[in-house]
Amino acid sequence: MVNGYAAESLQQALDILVNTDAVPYAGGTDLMVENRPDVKYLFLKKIPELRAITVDEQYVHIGAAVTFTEAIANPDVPKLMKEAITLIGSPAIRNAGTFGGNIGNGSDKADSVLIEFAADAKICLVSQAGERLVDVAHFYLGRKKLDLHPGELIKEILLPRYGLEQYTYQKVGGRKALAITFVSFAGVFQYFKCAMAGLRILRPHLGQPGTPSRDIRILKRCFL
Amino acid sequence: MPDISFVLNGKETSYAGSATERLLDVLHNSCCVAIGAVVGSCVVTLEGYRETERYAVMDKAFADVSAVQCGFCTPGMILAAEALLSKNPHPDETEIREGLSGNLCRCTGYNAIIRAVQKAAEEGNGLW
Amino acid sequence: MIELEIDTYTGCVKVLDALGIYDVGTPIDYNVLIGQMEGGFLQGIGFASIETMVYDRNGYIRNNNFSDYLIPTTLDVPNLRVLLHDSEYSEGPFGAKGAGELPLIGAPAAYLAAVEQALGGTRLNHVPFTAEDVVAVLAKEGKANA
Repeated sequence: MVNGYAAESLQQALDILVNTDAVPYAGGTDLMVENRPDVKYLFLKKIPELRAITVDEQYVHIGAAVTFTEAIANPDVPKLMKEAITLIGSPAIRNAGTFGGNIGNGSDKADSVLIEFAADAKICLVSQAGERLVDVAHFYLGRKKLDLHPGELIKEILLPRYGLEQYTYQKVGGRKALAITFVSFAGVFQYFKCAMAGLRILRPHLGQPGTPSRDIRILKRCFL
Repeated sequence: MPDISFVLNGKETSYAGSATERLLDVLHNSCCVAIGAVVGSCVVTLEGYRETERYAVMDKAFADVSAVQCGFCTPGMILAAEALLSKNPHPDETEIREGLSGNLCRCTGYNAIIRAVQKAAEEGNGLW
Repeated sequence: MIELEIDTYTGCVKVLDALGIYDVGTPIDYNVLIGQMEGGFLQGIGFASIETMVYDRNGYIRNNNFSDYLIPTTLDVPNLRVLLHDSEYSEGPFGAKGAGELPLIGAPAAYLAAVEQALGGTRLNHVPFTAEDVVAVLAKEGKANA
């Protein structure tokens, strides 16, 4: 038996988060397989700020509860991100999985997060105290540890609108669908900057496990 | 309370695809959807879908090409095919394979299932 | 017969063509039979490539769920085909022979033989032969990134 809270607004969600031990639930695809006993979920899918994709001059703002399928259909989302999230899981998983969940569970295997690393994205966190912007590179503190304070929700991901047009991306998984990534590589080239690359290594014997890495030495070792 | 016997536990990982349902015309693995998340939404399971004309076409196609061996994957395959055809009434083989890529089958090697979906798409002309 | 190509950068194997020809006597129900042949053939390819089974010291299978024990999906071997060698078997009912166990048997050997040939002839002696195993062979022979 699960007791849950359904929030209709961001403020309501933040109140519930502070006053209960509810776990934020967007798509549920990572949470539900954990099968936590006596867990209470805070359902976020009705909160408009978390479901929106908007643009400003510099960034595309992708709400934390936007699903991968929705992002793939949206013309403002950069192609590199679309390419990566198209390879996640399966159609049903993409219909439920969200950007907030993909980074929020602290996994080192998150496909959208790799692109956020390569693109120098920012994460917008919100709490009763207001909003806070964090560079994605500083958001991961270690395996399954995030710079997420109690009472904070991930509000949206800020992806640069421009500069991601020249890219390369490859995912190596166990099979062609329903595959957790073993190794993946995203490289972005911008003419006025050095090439940036994000790489996630999941085989500990190859290098530093867990977090995506931009260290070129680790990149070289990963590909022999 | 209707018997929702076909919303199976997809082995608790969301990977089997055998626990499938359609939520507001969107395919979901029901083993990964908490009830609280769908309050106020329209959920269609195979039991409801079985009453439709589209299902009759699908049923006949699966039977005609013998796309069922043990049958365990079949409910999920049918709902995934329905979700696919709703968005893309005339998919090519690659699109069918992608649409059904979240449904695992151990018995058939998938070829007959793909043929069944192709047949349903041809014969159900106008329904999707 | 399995034809495949290996990405020497990632070790990933792509099956280009998989053809199985089976002699099961007279087919009684052709479609159901072909379904069994295709199913078993794909099981054999999975067995040879991605179905790593990890046991602990007490014999318990550690990867006992669908996300850790990988079986092929619709996208993995889209070009699998099966033919029957049509010949009536005089000793069997209506000319038929047992069919179900057959298609699994030859597939892993065919797969591994193709991988051996692709990797230049080094004898390989275990299945599943995963992408990591491929990379290990390539690295040992200095052929990685070729």
